[in-house]
Amino acid sequence: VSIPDNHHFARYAGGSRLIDGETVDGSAFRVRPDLDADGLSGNWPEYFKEKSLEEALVEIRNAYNAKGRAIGARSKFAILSVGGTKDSVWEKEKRRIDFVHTPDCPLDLSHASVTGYNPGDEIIADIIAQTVIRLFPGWA
Amino acid sequence: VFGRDYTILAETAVLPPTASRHLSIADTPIERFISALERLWAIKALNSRGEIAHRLATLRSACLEEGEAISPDSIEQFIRFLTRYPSLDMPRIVITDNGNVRASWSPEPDRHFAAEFSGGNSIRFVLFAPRPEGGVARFAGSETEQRLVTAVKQLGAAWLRVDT
Repeated sequence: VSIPDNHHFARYAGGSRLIDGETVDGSAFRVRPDLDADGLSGNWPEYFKEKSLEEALVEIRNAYNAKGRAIGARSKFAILSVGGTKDSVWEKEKRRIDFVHTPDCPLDLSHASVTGYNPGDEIIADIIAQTVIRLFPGWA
Repeated sequence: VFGRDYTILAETAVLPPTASRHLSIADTPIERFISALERLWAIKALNSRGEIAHRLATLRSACLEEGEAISPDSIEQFIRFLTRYPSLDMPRIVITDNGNVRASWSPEPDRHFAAEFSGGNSIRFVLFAPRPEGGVARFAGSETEQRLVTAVKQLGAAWLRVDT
């Protein structure tokens, strides 16, 4: 199921992928061979209906913890605007990417993926990084 | 808007000049890291060497904290690159998920040059460069250490400050 354009996508970025804690490098948005066969992993905050972005991030952090994923003290969640990022990639590279709901049952129901680009598409990854609209701390 | 795949590979690979020499005296990751920082400090013409050393140390801490590795080969290649081009401005530096140093010189979104040092003799790069007639050219590819800066300058990275 495609995520609506007016919704968001949250991508975890470890501290070593952050530039001065305020900007995320494009390498955080690269699709890894084999590991990201279904697309770039992240979360769909609006899955948690009636919750604000901040409140949804609490749920997403809980899901990370439930899955046993470590959240680094310097890490952040980078927020993308689904429609804004899709438009930017189309405008600049004429590529159609999509954001789809890919629930990871039962622990990570808001799990989502970005599809439509490959491990070698470093230009797309760097364009996506330029569309980050907000960062939330990895740790609350 | 131009979208191209740009790849130049060296016809003849040139061995890194100092790698084998330093491997013999510093072969654990931490020793190689310290040795690389010492070489960084020795680049007197590099005004930002203190900031770069601090940034690399911070990144190493972040990687240790998150259980990730930094490739000593990558750091050594990055220092060789800075030795070759000491007049470069302070780059933004991160560590990629495969442990490589990635440095970028990007004053604006459409003036973007990022180089990933994977430890061999070639360097992966991404370049966004505006064109005088309008639009932005975007390239990704790999180039040898020796030729990278010349190549990306020819492709439009006019903001890179190097004395060649």
